[in-house]
Amino acid sequence: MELKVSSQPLTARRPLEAVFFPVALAAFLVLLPVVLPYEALAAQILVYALYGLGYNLLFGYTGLLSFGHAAFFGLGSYTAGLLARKLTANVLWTLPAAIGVGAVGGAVVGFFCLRRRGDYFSLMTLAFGQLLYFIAHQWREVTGGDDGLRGIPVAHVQVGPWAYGLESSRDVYLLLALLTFGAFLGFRRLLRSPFGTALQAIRENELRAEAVGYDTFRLKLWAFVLSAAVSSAAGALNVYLLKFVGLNSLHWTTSGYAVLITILGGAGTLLGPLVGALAFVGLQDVLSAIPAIVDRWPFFVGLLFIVCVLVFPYGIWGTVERVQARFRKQAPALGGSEG
Amino acid sequence: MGPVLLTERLSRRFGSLAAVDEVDLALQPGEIRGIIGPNGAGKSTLLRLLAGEIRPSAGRILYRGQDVTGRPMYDLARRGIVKSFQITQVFPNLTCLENVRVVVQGPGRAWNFWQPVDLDRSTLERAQALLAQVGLYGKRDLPAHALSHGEQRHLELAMALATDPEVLLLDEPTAGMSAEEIQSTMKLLQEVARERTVVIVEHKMPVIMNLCQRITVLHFGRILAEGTPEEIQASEEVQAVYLGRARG
Repeated sequence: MELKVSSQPLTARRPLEAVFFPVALAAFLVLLPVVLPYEALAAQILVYALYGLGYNLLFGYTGLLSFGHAAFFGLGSYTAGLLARKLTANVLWTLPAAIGVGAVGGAVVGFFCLRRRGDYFSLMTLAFGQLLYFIAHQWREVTGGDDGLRGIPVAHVQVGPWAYGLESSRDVYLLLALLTFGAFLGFRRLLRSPFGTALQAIRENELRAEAVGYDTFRLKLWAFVLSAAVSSAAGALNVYLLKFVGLNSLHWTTSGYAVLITILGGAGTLLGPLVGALAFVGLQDVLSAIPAIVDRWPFFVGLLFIVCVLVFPYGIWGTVERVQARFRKQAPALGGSEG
Repeated sequence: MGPVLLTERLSRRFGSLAAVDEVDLALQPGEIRGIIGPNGAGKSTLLRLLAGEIRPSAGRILYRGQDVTGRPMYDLARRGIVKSFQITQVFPNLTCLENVRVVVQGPGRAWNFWQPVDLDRSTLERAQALLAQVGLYGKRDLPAHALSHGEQRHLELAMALATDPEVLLLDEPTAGMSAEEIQSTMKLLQEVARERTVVIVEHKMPVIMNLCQRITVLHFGRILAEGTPEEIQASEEVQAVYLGRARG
């Protein structure tokens, strides 16, 4: 698959944007659960937005198409679920644990898959994803097999004697909104850093990046690890929301969701995954409520995806950015010259 | 001071074909060396070996007296051996300035996850100066894919220079250029070569004869002749090879 990225400058900075972006993002996160019919839907959107954010780092910014990200989403889910059942449901333990397990998983899978390029890389990630799926499927004593993990205690945040249970969807949403806010701001900063710009250089032309001195294998491996860690965090957050770990968190269709959300929203754009998750989860919710459709919603989402790729190859947000850029008539967008 | 770059019986085989066959090359600091030869003589392979793009089958490469055989391309680039490719290689969706800046900022600093590079004034100024040197300052905010072929080659050169290489390896730097572009490129290369060692693989004889102090002629992967442009032009052996190629 050819990667379409909107050719925005690495560091499109206008003076107002430094303030405008966080304010707009915060406003969006406050309004989202108010506008939507129920809070669990808003929370689900943010879970997938974070999942997409992690995926986008690898696909949209490093140019690596993974078909196996369910492995990391699932690792995070099972880590959070198992810890909550056996040890502690404190988010301050389970979330870092999920991130750590995801990062280690990403390092192992990335180390092998990155020895190959292009389609071979993609297929190897798919193979690793399937491997984990079947391990979880067979290892019933630990993972519950087909049944998944049920009866997971309510997650809570506990610092010393102070504890707050994430009982309702609203509580989980609150946590998700805070993390989403931090993740998108941090990610925005990362993209302007030497590391972030190096990844984009690799996406643009790996041979060239290597020829000027970039250790491309190590950089790609780190992108893979970070991407896996964020996806794993999303998986854990999904467990706080659903209080259940399904085997389908490791299923290849979950990998597909990451691809879908990222491309639908706009690969290689900061907000693409957020917009993509909104479209994807929103559509799924609307479609599955129609009696004639219910379980057949993937068909219609697939249809929309095909139309979207054909009409808006840069995704929803990618198209918005391109239109914006045209209005600005490609005015010098590099903020560096102003210092 | 001895040679900056030295090869000892450097060889590279592709199956039964010896693309580069026991080549001994000694590059003196500051020289411009031309490498010529008929198609398939092993010129590009030799350059790829020197850049670490591919590994030799046998032989050694010494850089400033140190054995660097088999080191990866990125490592040699950081040490000061940088290559520009036969087929133009830029970052197409990044602007010209970003193309150069991503090199100037320093591949060794890539593990900084936090500091915005666009705020780094000295990086920016150096990137701008390099673009000015190759005549692309006016196009700094255009994406690289919007440049003409010749301009992309100049951009590539600016990126190579951004690493401040001691040895610059150029694979057909004027390929596909117009007559005027070739003129400006030659001027640029002369300027660039004042402070570094340059190896040029080129098909265009006038370019090679004008630029280079010494020329190495490759034929079937082996060194056929080596000398000043005058000596090479006078060599009957070299003429035979080229005439042979023209006839066949």
